[in-house]
Amino acid sequence: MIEASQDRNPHQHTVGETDARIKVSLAVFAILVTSLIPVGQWWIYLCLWVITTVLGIFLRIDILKLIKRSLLVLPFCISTIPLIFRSPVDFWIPIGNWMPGINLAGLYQALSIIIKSFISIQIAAFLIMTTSFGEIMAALRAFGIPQVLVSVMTMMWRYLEVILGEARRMMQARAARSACLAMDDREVGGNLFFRATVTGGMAGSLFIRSLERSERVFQAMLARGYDGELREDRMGEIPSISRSIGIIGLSLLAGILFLAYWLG
Amino acid sequence: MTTSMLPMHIPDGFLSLVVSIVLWVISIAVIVIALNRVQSQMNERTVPLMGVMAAAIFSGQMLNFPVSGGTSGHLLGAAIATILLGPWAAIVTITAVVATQAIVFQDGGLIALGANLFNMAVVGVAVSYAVYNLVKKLIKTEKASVLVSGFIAAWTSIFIASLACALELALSGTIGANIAVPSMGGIHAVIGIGESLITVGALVFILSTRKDLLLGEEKTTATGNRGILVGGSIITLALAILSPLASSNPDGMEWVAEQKGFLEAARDSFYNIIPDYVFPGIQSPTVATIAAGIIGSLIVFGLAYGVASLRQAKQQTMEK
Repeated sequence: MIEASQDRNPHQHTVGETDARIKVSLAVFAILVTSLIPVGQWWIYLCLWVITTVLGIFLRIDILKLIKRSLLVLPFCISTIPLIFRSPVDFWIPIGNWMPGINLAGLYQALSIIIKSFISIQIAAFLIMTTSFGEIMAALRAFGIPQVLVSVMTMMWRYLEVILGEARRMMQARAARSACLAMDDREVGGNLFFRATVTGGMAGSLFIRSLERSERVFQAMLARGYDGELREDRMGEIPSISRSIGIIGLSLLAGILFLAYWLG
Repeated sequence: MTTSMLPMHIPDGFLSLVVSIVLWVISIAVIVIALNRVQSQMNERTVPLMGVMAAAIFSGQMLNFPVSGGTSGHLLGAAIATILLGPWAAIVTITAVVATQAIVFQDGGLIALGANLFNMAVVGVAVSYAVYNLVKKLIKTEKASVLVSGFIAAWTSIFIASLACALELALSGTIGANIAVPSMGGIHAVIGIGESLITVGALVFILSTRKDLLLGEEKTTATGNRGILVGGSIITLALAILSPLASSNPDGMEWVAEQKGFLEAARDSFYNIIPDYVFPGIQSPTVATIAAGIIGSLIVFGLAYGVASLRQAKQQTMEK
């Protein structure tokens, strides 16, 4: 999972090197604009998707990866299915012996939700593929997110690889000992209750190890001069080129939103 | 291919802007209170402890167990985090996890992040805390009280958070409450059992290796936590009562089936303990649905208590 964050292209274009504060603001505004576009504005959806994709190509981002990550929305799409079958029924579709009734407005609404969600994920994926975690955290701090929360998230990020590695090793060890499903008609991993509680035991072990690790981390921080006061690198002024990119981006998005309502 | 029971983080586009903004405001208020409480309780230890534990919760979600047919279950972690760290620290930890999942892995939207934080960090933790403490008071034996209350707290946290998610989707007009509540509640009632079993497994391990973390210093029953205890109880009751009320409209798919005349083709199951989630013999459908919910919870409670008592009796016999 953590590999997903390492899709960042190290050879960024100037646009990719835009100040993180501008990139985060633009991403959030773009998602907000996407959410606000009325139902059934297919040309506007296409326009937003093309802009994101062309920008991705321009920044030499792996577009296939970008699209693949956007497919994360698929499981949640199930929740829109009932919208299609609500009343009143506009037309029927024969599926074998079954004749489900389709509500056209519901179908448009469901499709709009799915497309908007797909575009939003693509925008968020685009942000993380062009900006490092540290830069995003610095931008969040600049936006006034409490320093403690940002520091906790940064610390979490720093130790995630270590503890994930520990969890992976535990899974490997368990596979050698227990908790697998039946193989060749042989029950090798006990029943469901056994498998679940074994996983619980592993989770308990992981938490205790992490608690003890946090104590060691704290001692190490104390040894390096930590006194509870969090010192941070403040971000400087936003460079003028980044500011210009921000203004152009915001204007473009505002224009798209205006166009969507004007057409609607 | 393995299909995992992943936590359902709401993506962007599924919630209306008004619902998203309201939930952002509530979540920010609770998180700010939690941050202040944690800092005043832990001082300089806050950052390393919360950071490493957030990484542990994140990694703990990777530990899965095979269920059947290519599906697997895994820990979500609100209850175990609450029991181990206390409610305020758990809110901060889960916030860090959910926010990182949204920002880095697009697991949940950025505009919908307020709602996801509300469901998992606020509702999940507050409900876990309230249920854990209330059930714990009912059982006198120390070990059984931790295990039974941990089991029920884990199940309730998942179930109530799923009802919150269903109501948010219904309020946004994405899906009718009559469909969202039973389907989300039904699926998560099953997922909740997996969460409960893993939580109990973790608690058994911690009780046998680091008993002091669970039975020593009472970080989960401090007087400063009364607000979250009351809040968690209110959220649990409100969602348990509001959800059946909201979903009492006729089901859309049933309407279509009725219109096309194939409703009769649907066969009844072999047994009907509580048909259509409505308790038989009560005239009012709303009261009957609530009664069915309470009876269902009592059955789960009874089962968990029975299992704990049996284990305890077996252990006492072995010790003799």
